[in-house]
Amino acid sequence: MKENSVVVLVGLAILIALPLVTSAYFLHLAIQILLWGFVYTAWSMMGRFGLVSLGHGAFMGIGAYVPALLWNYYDMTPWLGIPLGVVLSALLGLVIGYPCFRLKVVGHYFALVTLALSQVVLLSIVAARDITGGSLGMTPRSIGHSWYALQFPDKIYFYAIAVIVWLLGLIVWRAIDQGIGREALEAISDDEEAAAAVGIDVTREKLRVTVISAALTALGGALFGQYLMYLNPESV
Amino acid sequence: MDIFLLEAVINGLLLAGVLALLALGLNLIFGVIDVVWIAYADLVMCGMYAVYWLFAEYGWPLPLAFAAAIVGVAALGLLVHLLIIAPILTSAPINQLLATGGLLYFLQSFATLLFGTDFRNIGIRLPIIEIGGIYVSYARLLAFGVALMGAIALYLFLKRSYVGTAIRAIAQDREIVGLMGVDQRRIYLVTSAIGGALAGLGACLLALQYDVHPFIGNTFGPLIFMICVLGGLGNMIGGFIAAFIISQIIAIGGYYYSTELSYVLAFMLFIVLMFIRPQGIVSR
Repeated sequence: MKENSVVVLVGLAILIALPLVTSAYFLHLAIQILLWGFVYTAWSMMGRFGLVSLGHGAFMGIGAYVPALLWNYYDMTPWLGIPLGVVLSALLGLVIGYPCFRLKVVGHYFALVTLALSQVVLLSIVAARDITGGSLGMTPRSIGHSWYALQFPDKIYFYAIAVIVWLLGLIVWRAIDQGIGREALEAISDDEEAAAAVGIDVTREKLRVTVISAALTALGGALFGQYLMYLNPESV
Repeated sequence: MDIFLLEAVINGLLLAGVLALLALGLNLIFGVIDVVWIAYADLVMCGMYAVYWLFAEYGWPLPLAFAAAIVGVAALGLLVHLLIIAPILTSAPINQLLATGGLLYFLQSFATLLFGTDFRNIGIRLPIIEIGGIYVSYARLLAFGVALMGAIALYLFLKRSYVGTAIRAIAQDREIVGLMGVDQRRIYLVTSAIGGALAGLGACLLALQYDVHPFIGNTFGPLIFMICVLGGLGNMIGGFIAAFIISQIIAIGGYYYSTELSYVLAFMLFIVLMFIRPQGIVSR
Protein backbone atom coordinates (compact mmCIF):
# COMPACT_ATOMS: atom_id res chain seq x y z
CA MET A 1 0.00 0.00 0.00
CA LYS A 2 2.87 2.33 0.89
CA GLU A 3 4.53 1.81 -2.47
CA ASN A 4 1.22 2.29 -4.17
CA SER A 5 0.68 5.71 -2.69
CA VAL A 6 4.20 6.70 -3.67
CA VAL A 7 3.44 5.75 -7.25
CA VAL A 8 0.21 7.73 -7.12
CA LEU A 9 1.97 10.80 -5.72
CA VAL A 10 4.75 10.64 -8.30
CA GLY A 11 2.16 10.23 -11.02
CA LEU A 12 0.24 13.26 -9.82
CA ALA A 13 3.42 15.28 -9.58
CA ILE A 14 4.26 14.44 -13.15
CA LEU A 15 0.75 15.39 -14.28
CA ILE A 16 1.04 18.74 -12.51
CA ALA A 17 4.53 19.41 -13.78
CA LEU A 18 3.72 18.40 -17.33
CA PRO A 19 2.21 21.66 -18.58
CA LEU A 20 5.16 23.63 -17.23
CA VAL A 21 7.69 21.85 -19.36
CA THR A 22 5.93 20.87 -22.54
CA SER A 23 4.87 22.57 -25.73
CA ALA A 24 1.29 23.52 -26.53
CA TYR A 25 0.92 20.68 -28.98
CA PHE A 26 2.05 18.14 -26.47
CA LEU A 27 -0.39 19.61 -23.99
CA HIS A 28 -3.11 19.19 -26.58
CA LEU A 29 -2.19 15.54 -26.88
CA ALA A 30 -2.17 15.16 -23.11
CA ILE A 31 -5.68 16.65 -22.84
CA GLN A 32 -6.95 14.31 -25.52
CA ILE A 33 -5.31 11.34 -23.86
CA LEU A 34 -6.83 12.21 -20.49
CA LEU A 35 -10.30 12.82 -21.88
CA TRP A 36 -10.28 9.66 -23.97
CA GLY A 37 -8.92 7.80 -20.98
CA PHE A 38 -11.85 9.13 -19.00
CA VAL A 39 -14.41 8.13 -21.60
CA TYR A 40 -12.83 4.74 -21.93
CA THR A 41 -12.92 4.29 -18.16
CA ALA A 42 -16.61 5.10 -18.25
CA TRP A 43 -17.17 2.63 -21.07
CA SER A 44 -15.27 -0.19 -19.46
CA MET A 45 -17.28 0.14 -16.27
CA MET A 46 -19.88 -1.67 -18.32
CA GLY A 47 -17.56 -3.51 -20.64
CA ARG A 48 -15.75 -5.40 -17.93
CA PHE A 49 -18.98 -6.94 -16.77
CA GLY A 50 -19.87 -8.26 -20.17
CA LEU A 51 -22.10 -5.33 -21.07
CA VAL A 52 -20.52 -4.51 -24.39
CA SER A 53 -21.99 -1.23 -25.49
CA LEU A 54 -21.50 0.11 -28.98
CA GLY A 55 -23.81 2.95 -28.08
CA HIS A 56 -21.54 5.15 -26.08
CA GLY A 57 -21.22 7.42 -29.06
CA ALA A 58 -24.87 8.28 -28.39
CA PHE A 59 -24.13 9.30 -24.80
CA MET A 60 -21.09 11.29 -25.87
CA GLY A 61 -23.12 12.96 -28.58
CA ILE A 62 -25.88 14.01 -26.21
CA GLY A 63 -23.33 15.20 -23.69
CA ALA A 64 -21.62 17.32 -26.32
CA TYR A 65 -24.60 18.63 -28.28
CA VAL A 66 -26.97 19.55 -25.44
CA PRO A 67 -24.74 22.19 -23.81
CA ALA A 68 -23.55 23.50 -27.17
CA LEU A 69 -27.09 23.92 -28.47
CA LEU A 70 -28.31 25.53 -25.26
CA TRP A 71 -25.38 27.89 -25.35
CA ASN A 72 -25.79 28.86 -28.97
CA TYR A 73 -29.54 29.32 -28.92
CA TYR A 74 -30.45 30.22 -25.37
CA ASP A 75 -27.22 31.63 -23.99
CA MET A 76 -27.43 29.06 -21.26
CA THR A 77 -24.12 28.57 -19.54
CA PRO A 78 -22.49 25.16 -19.94
CA TRP A 79 -22.44 25.05 -16.16
CA LEU A 80 -26.13 24.25 -16.50
CA GLY A 81 -26.02 22.75 -19.96
CA ILE A 82 -23.48 20.07 -19.16
CA PRO A 83 -25.35 18.69 -16.13
CA LEU A 84 -28.49 18.73 -18.24
CA GLY A 85 -26.76 16.74 -20.98
CA VAL A 86 -25.42 14.34 -18.39
CA VAL A 87 -28.86 13.84 -16.88
CA LEU A 88 -30.45 13.36 -20.29
CA SER A 89 -27.82 10.86 -21.20
CA ALA A 90 -28.29 8.97 -17.95
CA LEU A 91 -32.03 8.95 -18.63
CA LEU A 92 -31.41 7.54 -22.07
CA GLY A 93 -29.24 4.87 -20.50
CA LEU A 94 -32.13 4.09 -18.19
CA VAL A 95 -34.70 4.00 -20.96
CA ILE A 96 -32.65 1.73 -23.17
CA GLY A 97 -31.15 -0.29 -20.34
CA TYR A 98 -34.29 -1.13 -18.42
CA PRO A 99 -36.08 -3.09 -21.14
CA CYS A 100 -32.78 -4.64 -22.25
CA PHE A 101 -32.07 -5.99 -18.80
CA ARG A 102 -35.62 -6.87 -17.95
CA LEU A 103 -36.07 -8.85 -21.13
CA LYS A 104 -32.58 -10.35 -20.92
CA VAL A 105 -31.12 -8.87 -24.06
CA VAL A 106 -27.53 -9.94 -23.51
CA GLY A 107 -24.22 -10.48 -25.24
CA HIS A 108 -24.15 -9.84 -28.96
CA TYR A 109 -27.75 -8.72 -28.92
CA PHE A 110 -27.10 -6.06 -26.32
CA ALA A 111 -24.20 -4.82 -28.42
CA LEU A 112 -26.44 -4.61 -31.47
CA VAL A 113 -29.21 -2.78 -29.65
CA THR A 114 -26.72 -0.21 -28.43
CA LEU A 115 -25.28 0.03 -31.93
CA ALA A 116 -28.77 0.85 -33.17
CA LEU A 117 -29.11 3.41 -30.40
CA SER A 118 -25.94 5.20 -31.46
CA GLN A 119 -27.20 5.22 -35.04
CA VAL A 120 -30.51 6.70 -33.91
CA VAL A 121 -28.80 9.54 -32.08
CA LEU A 122 -26.24 10.13 -34.82
CA LEU A 123 -28.82 10.21 -37.59
CA SER A 124 -31.18 12.38 -35.55
CA ILE A 125 -28.39 14.90 -35.18
CA VAL A 126 -27.77 14.77 -38.91
CA ALA A 127 -31.49 14.99 -39.69
CA ALA A 128 -31.94 18.07 -37.51
CA ARG A 129 -29.44 19.88 -39.66
CA ASP A 130 -31.19 23.22 -39.41
CA ILE A 131 -30.39 23.30 -35.72
CA THR A 132 -27.31 21.16 -35.37
CA GLY A 133 -25.54 21.88 -38.63
CA GLY A 134 -25.98 18.27 -39.77
CA SER A 135 -22.90 16.42 -40.91
CA LEU A 136 -21.00 19.66 -41.25
CA GLY A 137 -20.86 19.91 -37.50
CA MET A 138 -21.30 22.95 -35.34
CA THR A 139 -19.22 25.37 -33.36
CA PRO A 140 -20.21 26.70 -29.97
CA ARG A 141 -20.29 30.49 -30.19
CA SER A 142 -16.91 31.67 -29.02
CA ILE A 143 -16.55 34.62 -26.66
CA GLY A 144 -12.94 34.22 -25.71
CA HIS A 145 -11.74 33.53 -22.23
CA SER A 146 -14.71 33.03 -19.96
CA TRP A 147 -15.53 31.00 -16.91
CA TYR A 148 -19.20 31.57 -17.57
CA ALA A 149 -19.04 29.99 -21.00
CA LEU A 150 -16.38 27.50 -20.00
CA GLN A 151 -14.20 28.62 -22.86
CA PHE A 152 -10.48 28.94 -22.43
CA PRO A 153 -8.22 29.64 -25.36
CA ASP A 154 -5.34 28.85 -23.06
CA LYS A 155 -4.95 25.09 -22.98
CA ILE A 156 -3.71 25.00 -19.44
CA TYR A 157 -7.23 25.38 -18.05
CA PHE A 158 -8.53 22.47 -20.00
CA TYR A 159 -5.54 20.45 -19.01
CA ALA A 160 -6.47 21.04 -15.37
CA ILE A 161 -10.11 20.13 -16.08
CA ALA A 162 -9.06 17.02 -17.96
CA VAL A 163 -6.85 15.89 -15.09
CA ILE A 164 -9.62 16.44 -12.55
CA VAL A 165 -12.21 14.66 -14.63
CA TRP A 166 -9.86 11.81 -15.32
CA LEU A 167 -9.24 11.43 -11.62
CA LEU A 168 -12.98 11.53 -11.04
CA GLY A 169 -13.34 8.66 -13.50
CA LEU A 170 -10.74 6.66 -11.63
CA ILE A 171 -12.39 7.36 -8.29
CA VAL A 172 -15.76 6.18 -9.57
CA TRP A 173 -14.06 3.15 -11.05
CA ARG A 174 -12.49 2.42 -7.71
CA ALA A 175 -15.78 2.85 -5.91
CA ILE A 176 -17.40 0.33 -8.20
CA ASP A 177 -14.39 -1.93 -8.00
CA GLN A 178 -14.45 -2.08 -4.24
CA GLY A 179 -18.18 -1.86 -3.66
CA ILE A 180 -20.47 -4.78 -3.11
CA GLY A 181 -21.91 -4.17 -6.56
CA ARG A 182 -18.78 -5.51 -8.18
CA GLU A 183 -19.26 -8.99 -6.80
CA ALA A 184 -22.85 -8.89 -7.91
CA LEU A 185 -21.95 -7.71 -11.40
CA GLU A 186 -19.24 -10.28 -11.78
CA ALA A 187 -21.65 -12.96 -10.75
CA ILE A 188 -24.12 -11.64 -13.29
CA SER A 189 -21.63 -11.62 -16.10
CA ASP A 190 -20.65 -15.18 -15.25
CA ASP A 191 -24.15 -16.54 -15.03
CA GLU A 192 -27.20 -14.37 -14.95
CA GLU A 193 -29.64 -17.04 -13.86
CA ALA A 194 -27.46 -18.20 -11.03
CA ALA A 195 -26.92 -14.64 -9.87
CA ALA A 196 -30.64 -14.01 -9.84
CA ALA A 197 -31.12 -17.27 -7.93
CA VAL A 198 -28.88 -16.14 -5.06
CA GLY A 199 -30.90 -13.00 -4.67
CA ILE A 200 -29.11 -10.44 -6.79
CA ASP A 201 -31.39 -7.94 -8.43
CA VAL A 202 -29.89 -8.37 -11.89
CA THR A 203 -31.81 -5.57 -13.54
CA ARG A 204 -31.00 -3.04 -10.84
CA GLU A 205 -27.30 -3.81 -10.66
CA LYS A 206 -26.91 -3.61 -14.41
CA LEU A 207 -28.96 -0.45 -14.63
CA ARG A 208 -26.91 1.28 -11.98
CA VAL A 209 -23.63 0.68 -13.73
CA THR A 210 -25.17 1.60 -17.09
CA VAL A 211 -26.50 4.90 -15.81
CA ILE A 212 -23.19 5.79 -14.17
CA SER A 213 -21.34 4.86 -17.32
CA ALA A 214 -23.71 6.83 -19.56
CA ALA A 215 -23.51 9.92 -17.34
CA LEU A 216 -19.73 9.93 -17.21
CA THR A 217 -19.49 9.36 -20.95
CA ALA A 218 -21.76 12.34 -21.52
CA LEU A 219 -19.53 14.44 -19.30
CA GLY A 220 -16.56 13.35 -21.38
CA GLY A 221 -18.41 14.25 -24.57
CA ALA A 222 -19.33 17.66 -23.20
CA LEU A 223 -15.74 18.44 -22.32
CA PHE A 224 -14.58 17.34 -25.75
CA GLY A 225 -17.10 19.72 -27.26
CA GLN A 226 -16.02 22.59 -25.03
CA TYR A 227 -12.37 21.92 -25.59
CA LEU A 228 -12.32 21.44 -29.35
CA MET A 229 -15.05 24.08 -29.87
CA TYR A 230 -16.28 21.98 -32.74
CA LEU A 231 -18.74 19.12 -32.85
CA ASN A 232 -19.74 16.88 -35.65
CA PRO A 233 -21.86 13.76 -35.72
CA GLU A 234 -19.09 11.55 -37.03
CA SER A 235 -16.81 12.23 -34.10
CA VAL A 236 -19.38 10.92 -31.65
CA MET B 1 -51.47 5.34 -55.18
CA ASP B 2 -49.07 8.11 -55.90
CA ILE B 3 -46.72 7.10 -58.66
CA PHE B 4 -43.63 8.43 -56.93
CA LEU B 5 -44.54 6.54 -53.81
CA LEU B 6 -44.89 3.40 -55.89
CA GLU B 7 -41.48 4.07 -57.34
CA ALA B 8 -40.03 4.42 -53.85
CA VAL B 9 -41.67 1.16 -52.81
CA ILE B 10 -40.29 -0.70 -55.80
CA ASN B 11 -36.82 0.69 -55.35
CA GLY B 12 -36.99 -0.26 -51.68
CA LEU B 13 -37.98 -3.76 -52.67
CA LEU B 14 -35.04 -4.01 -55.05
CA LEU B 15 -32.64 -2.73 -52.41
CA ALA B 16 -33.98 -5.33 -50.02
CA GLY B 17 -32.59 -8.11 -52.22
CA VAL B 18 -28.97 -7.02 -51.84
CA LEU B 19 -29.36 -6.23 -48.16
CA ALA B 20 -30.90 -9.64 -47.59
CA LEU B 21 -28.02 -11.30 -49.39
CA LEU B 22 -25.46 -9.57 -47.19
CA ALA B 23 -27.49 -10.29 -44.09
CA LEU B 24 -27.50 -13.94 -45.12
CA GLY B 25 -23.72 -14.01 -45.23
CA LEU B 26 -23.51 -12.41 -41.84
CA ASN B 27 -26.23 -14.68 -40.54
CA LEU B 28 -24.28 -17.72 -41.65
CA ILE B 29 -21.15 -16.59 -39.83
CA PHE B 30 -23.03 -15.47 -36.74
CA GLY B 31 -25.07 -18.64 -36.62
CA VAL B 32 -22.29 -21.11 -37.32
CA ILE B 33 -19.17 -19.58 -35.78
CA ASP B 34 -21.08 -17.54 -33.20
CA VAL B 35 -18.97 -14.47 -33.84
CA VAL B 36 -20.25 -11.11 -35.00
CA TRP B 37 -18.10 -9.76 -37.76
CA ILE B 38 -18.51 -6.08 -37.10
CA ALA B 39 -16.28 -5.49 -40.11
CA TYR B 40 -18.49 -7.41 -42.52
CA ALA B 41 -19.64 -4.35 -44.41
CA ASP B 42 -16.03 -3.34 -44.83
CA LEU B 43 -15.27 -6.59 -46.57
CA VAL B 44 -17.96 -5.45 -49.00
CA MET B 45 -16.11 -2.16 -49.31
CA CYS B 46 -12.91 -4.07 -50.20
CA GLY B 47 -14.86 -6.01 -52.81
CA MET B 48 -16.19 -2.81 -54.34
CA TYR B 49 -12.70 -1.42 -54.57
CA ALA B 50 -11.56 -4.66 -56.20
CA VAL B 51 -14.28 -4.31 -58.82
CA TYR B 52 -13.42 -0.68 -59.33
CA TRP B 53 -9.71 -1.22 -59.80
CA LEU B 54 -9.92 -4.31 -61.95
CA PHE B 55 -12.66 -3.00 -64.16
CA ALA B 56 -12.24 0.75 -64.36
CA GLU B 57 -8.48 1.04 -63.96
CA TYR B 58 -7.06 -2.17 -65.41
CA GLY B 59 -9.73 -2.66 -68.01
CA TRP B 60 -10.67 -6.22 -67.14
CA PRO B 61 -13.99 -7.35 -68.55
CA LEU B 62 -16.74 -6.84 -66.01
CA PRO B 63 -17.69 -10.51 -65.41
CA LEU B 64 -14.03 -11.35 -64.83
CA ALA B 65 -13.66 -8.44 -62.43
CA PHE B 66 -16.77 -9.61 -60.61
CA ALA B 67 -15.49 -13.16 -60.36
CA ALA B 68 -12.13 -11.94 -59.12
CA ALA B 69 -13.81 -9.74 -56.52
CA ILE B 70 -15.93 -12.61 -55.24
CA VAL B 71 -12.96 -14.96 -55.02
CA GLY B 72 -10.83 -12.21 -53.50
CA VAL B 73 -13.31 -11.35 -50.77
CA ALA B 74 -13.89 -15.04 -50.08
CA ALA B 75 -10.14 -15.37 -49.57
CA LEU B 76 -10.26 -12.31 -47.36
CA GLY B 77 -13.00 -13.97 -45.34
CA LEU B 78 -10.74 -17.01 -44.90
CA LEU B 79 -7.89 -14.77 -43.81
CA VAL B 80 -10.09 -12.95 -41.32
CA HIS B 81 -11.08 -16.25 -39.82
CA LEU B 82 -7.56 -17.69 -39.71
CA LEU B 83 -5.79 -14.58 -38.46
CA ILE B 84 -8.37 -12.96 -36.22
CA ILE B 85 -11.23 -15.25 -35.30
CA ALA B 86 -9.54 -18.63 -34.89
CA PRO B 87 -7.17 -17.55 -32.09
CA ILE B 88 -9.99 -15.98 -30.07
CA LEU B 89 -12.72 -18.47 -30.80
CA THR B 90 -13.14 -19.38 -27.17
CA SER B 91 -12.69 -15.95 -25.59
CA ALA B 92 -15.50 -13.75 -24.35
CA PRO B 93 -17.83 -12.16 -26.92
CA ILE B 94 -16.48 -8.75 -25.96
CA ASN B 95 -12.99 -9.65 -27.16
CA GLN B 96 -14.34 -10.98 -30.40
CA LEU B 97 -16.40 -7.87 -30.96
CA LEU B 98 -13.44 -5.64 -30.26
CA ALA B 99 -11.13 -7.66 -32.48
CA THR B 100 -13.45 -7.46 -35.47
CA GLY B 101 -14.13 -3.82 -34.57
CA GLY B 102 -10.39 -3.26 -34.79
CA LEU B 103 -10.44 -4.89 -38.21
CA LEU B 104 -13.16 -2.43 -39.23
CA TYR B 105 -11.00 0.56 -38.41
CA PHE B 106 -7.97 -1.11 -39.95
CA LEU B 107 -9.75 -1.71 -43.24
CA GLN B 108 -11.24 1.78 -43.34
CA SER B 109 -7.97 3.49 -42.57
CA PHE B 110 -6.07 1.25 -44.93
CA ALA B 111 -8.49 2.00 -47.75
CA THR B 112 -8.24 5.72 -46.98
CA LEU B 113 -4.47 5.48 -47.10
CA LEU B 114 -4.41 3.55 -50.36
CA PHE B 115 -7.23 5.15 -52.27
CA GLY B 116 -7.93 8.46 -50.55
CA THR B 117 -11.40 9.60 -49.65
CA ASP B 118 -12.54 10.23 -53.23
CA PHE B 119 -15.82 8.77 -54.31
CA ARG B 120 -15.06 6.44 -57.17
CA ASN B 121 -17.48 5.11 -59.69
CA ILE B 122 -16.91 2.19 -62.02
CA GLY B 123 -18.37 4.32 -64.75
CA ILE B 124 -21.13 2.09 -66.00
CA ARG B 125 -24.50 3.58 -66.46
CA LEU B 126 -26.98 0.85 -67.03
CA PRO B 127 -30.16 1.93 -68.73
CA ILE B 128 -33.24 2.92 -66.81
CA ILE B 129 -36.42 1.12 -67.61
CA GLU B 130 -39.75 2.81 -67.68
CA ILE B 131 -42.83 0.79 -66.91
CA GLY B 132 -46.03 2.76 -66.92
CA GLY B 133 -44.42 5.97 -65.75
CA ILE B 134 -42.33 4.27 -63.08
CA TYR B 135 -38.59 4.47 -63.50
CA VAL B 136 -36.61 1.51 -62.33
CA SER B 137 -32.90 1.33 -62.80
CA TYR B 138 -31.71 -1.76 -64.60
CA ALA B 139 -28.80 -2.05 -62.18
CA ARG B 140 -31.15 -2.46 -59.26
CA LEU B 141 -33.29 -4.96 -61.08
CA LEU B 142 -30.20 -6.96 -61.96
CA ALA B 143 -28.93 -6.72 -58.40
CA PHE B 144 -32.21 -7.97 -57.04
CA GLY B 145 -32.32 -10.90 -59.43
CA VAL B 146 -28.73 -11.93 -58.77
CA ALA B 147 -29.16 -11.55 -55.01
CA LEU B 148 -32.20 -13.77 -55.17
CA MET B 149 -30.32 -16.37 -57.18
CA GLY B 150 -27.40 -16.19 -54.78
CA ALA B 151 -29.72 -16.80 -51.86
CA ILE B 152 -31.37 -19.75 -53.60
CA ALA B 153 -27.97 -21.22 -54.45
CA LEU B 154 -26.95 -20.89 -50.83
CA TYR B 155 -30.18 -22.50 -49.72
CA LEU B 156 -29.65 -25.47 -52.03
CA PHE B 157 -26.07 -25.80 -50.90
CA LEU B 158 -27.08 -25.84 -47.24
CA LYS B 159 -29.93 -28.27 -47.77
CA ARG B 160 -28.49 -30.66 -50.31
CA SER B 161 -24.76 -30.98 -49.85
CA TYR B 162 -22.91 -32.82 -47.13
CA VAL B 163 -20.92 -29.77 -46.08
CA GLY B 164 -24.10 -27.73 -46.03
CA THR B 165 -25.74 -30.24 -43.74
CA ALA B 166 -22.73 -30.14 -41.45
CA ILE B 167 -22.92 -26.33 -41.37
CA ARG B 168 -26.54 -26.44 -40.35
CA ALA B 169 -25.77 -29.07 -37.76
CA ILE B 170 -23.09 -26.91 -36.18
CA ALA B 171 -25.48 -24.01 -35.98
CA GLN B 172 -27.84 -26.23 -34.03
CA ASP B 173 -25.45 -27.83 -31.60
CA ARG B 174 -21.75 -27.28 -31.84
CA GLU B 175 -20.87 -29.79 -29.16
CA ILE B 176 -22.60 -32.85 -30.51
CA VAL B 177 -21.47 -32.24 -34.06
CA GLY B 178 -17.87 -33.06 -33.20
CA LEU B 179 -18.97 -36.45 -31.98
CA MET B 180 -20.64 -37.11 -35.30
CA GLY B 181 -17.33 -36.93 -37.06
CA VAL B 182 -17.54 -33.40 -38.39
CA ASP B 183 -14.32 -31.44 -38.40
CA GLN B 184 -15.41 -28.12 -36.91
CA ARG B 185 -12.38 -26.17 -37.98
CA ARG B 186 -12.87 -27.14 -41.57
CA ILE B 187 -16.54 -26.18 -41.44
CA TYR B 188 -15.63 -22.84 -39.91
CA LEU B 189 -13.23 -22.22 -42.76
CA VAL B 190 -15.81 -23.13 -45.37
CA THR B 191 -18.36 -20.91 -43.65
CA SER B 192 -15.98 -17.96 -43.53
CA ALA B 193 -15.20 -18.40 -47.20
CA ILE B 194 -18.88 -18.56 -48.12
CA GLY B 195 -19.60 -15.53 -45.95
CA GLY B 196 -16.76 -13.72 -47.71
CA ALA B 197 -18.02 -14.80 -51.13
CA LEU B 198 -21.47 -13.45 -50.34
CA ALA B 199 -19.88 -10.17 -49.28
CA GLY B 200 -18.01 -10.20 -52.59
CA LEU B 201 -21.18 -10.84 -54.55
CA GLY B 202 -22.93 -8.07 -52.63
CA ALA B 203 -19.99 -5.81 -53.44
CA CYS B 204 -20.36 -6.47 -57.17
CA LEU B 205 -24.06 -5.66 -57.05
CA LEU B 206 -23.54 -2.53 -54.98
CA ALA B 207 -20.67 -1.35 -57.18
CA LEU B 208 -23.17 -1.14 -60.02
CA GLN B 209 -25.33 1.30 -58.09
CA TYR B 210 -23.15 3.26 -55.72
CA ASP B 211 -19.84 5.06 -55.70
CA VAL B 212 -17.22 3.39 -53.59
CA HIS B 213 -15.37 5.22 -50.83
CA PRO B 214 -13.56 3.98 -47.72
CA PHE B 215 -16.49 4.62 -45.39
CA ILE B 216 -19.26 3.13 -47.44
CA GLY B 217 -19.37 0.24 -45.01
CA ASN B 218 -20.69 2.58 -42.34
CA THR B 219 -23.73 3.51 -44.39
CA PHE B 220 -25.23 0.05 -44.67
CA GLY B 221 -23.22 -2.00 -42.17
CA PRO B 222 -25.52 -1.35 -39.20
CA LEU B 223 -28.51 -2.03 -41.45
CA ILE B 224 -27.22 -5.48 -42.30
CA PHE B 225 -26.80 -6.31 -38.63
CA MET B 226 -30.33 -5.23 -37.89
CA ILE B 227 -31.72 -7.32 -40.72
CA CYS B 228 -29.65 -10.32 -39.74
CA VAL B 229 -30.91 -10.26 -36.18
CA LEU B 230 -34.47 -9.28 -37.01
CA GLY B 231 -34.75 -12.13 -39.45
CA GLY B 232 -33.77 -14.57 -36.78
CA LEU B 233 -30.63 -16.64 -36.72
CA GLY B 234 -30.37 -19.32 -39.34
CA ASN B 235 -33.62 -18.21 -40.85
CA MET B 236 -33.30 -17.31 -44.52
CA ILE B 237 -36.93 -16.48 -45.16
CA GLY B 238 -36.96 -14.27 -42.06
CA GLY B 239 -33.88 -12.48 -43.37
CA PHE B 240 -35.70 -11.63 -46.57
CA ILE B 241 -38.78 -10.44 -44.74
CA ALA B 242 -36.70 -8.31 -42.39
CA ALA B 243 -34.74 -6.86 -45.30
CA PHE B 244 -38.01 -6.06 -47.00
CA ILE B 245 -39.50 -4.34 -43.95
CA ILE B 246 -36.37 -2.32 -43.20
CA SER B 247 -35.85 -1.17 -46.76
CA GLN B 248 -39.52 -0.29 -47.14
CA ILE B 249 -39.37 1.86 -44.03
CA ILE B 250 -36.33 3.58 -45.44
CA ALA B 251 -37.80 4.01 -48.91
CA ILE B 252 -41.22 5.21 -47.83
CA GLY B 253 -39.90 7.27 -44.91
CA GLY B 254 -37.37 8.82 -47.26
CA TYR B 255 -40.17 9.71 -49.60
CA TYR B 256 -42.34 11.39 -46.96
CA TYR B 257 -39.74 12.89 -44.64
CA SER B 258 -36.01 12.60 -45.08
CA THR B 259 -33.60 9.75 -45.50
CA GLU B 260 -32.00 10.25 -42.10
CA LEU B 261 -35.31 10.23 -40.29
CA SER B 262 -36.35 7.08 -42.06
CA TYR B 263 -33.14 5.41 -40.89
CA VAL B 264 -33.85 6.65 -37.37
CA LEU B 265 -37.28 5.08 -37.64
CA ALA B 266 -35.82 1.80 -38.87
CA PHE B 267 -33.31 1.62 -36.03
CA MET B 268 -35.91 2.52 -33.42
CA LEU B 269 -38.14 -0.20 -34.78
CA PHE B 270 -35.22 -2.57 -34.45
CA ILE B 271 -34.67 -1.66 -30.81
CA VAL B 272 -38.34 -2.09 -29.99
CA LEU B 273 -38.55 -5.36 -31.88
CA MET B 274 -35.51 -6.64 -30.01
CA PHE B 275 -37.49 -6.14 -26.83
CA ILE B 276 -40.67 -7.74 -28.08
CA ARG B 277 -39.30 -10.52 -30.21
CA PRO B 278 -35.61 -11.10 -29.48
CA GLN B 279 -35.70 -14.36 -31.43
CA GLY B 280 -36.45 -12.55 -34.67
CA ILE B 281 -39.72 -11.68 -36.39
CA VAL B 282 -40.14 -15.11 -37.90
CA SER B 283 -39.25 -17.60 -35.25
CA ARG B 284 -39.07 -21.27 -35.86
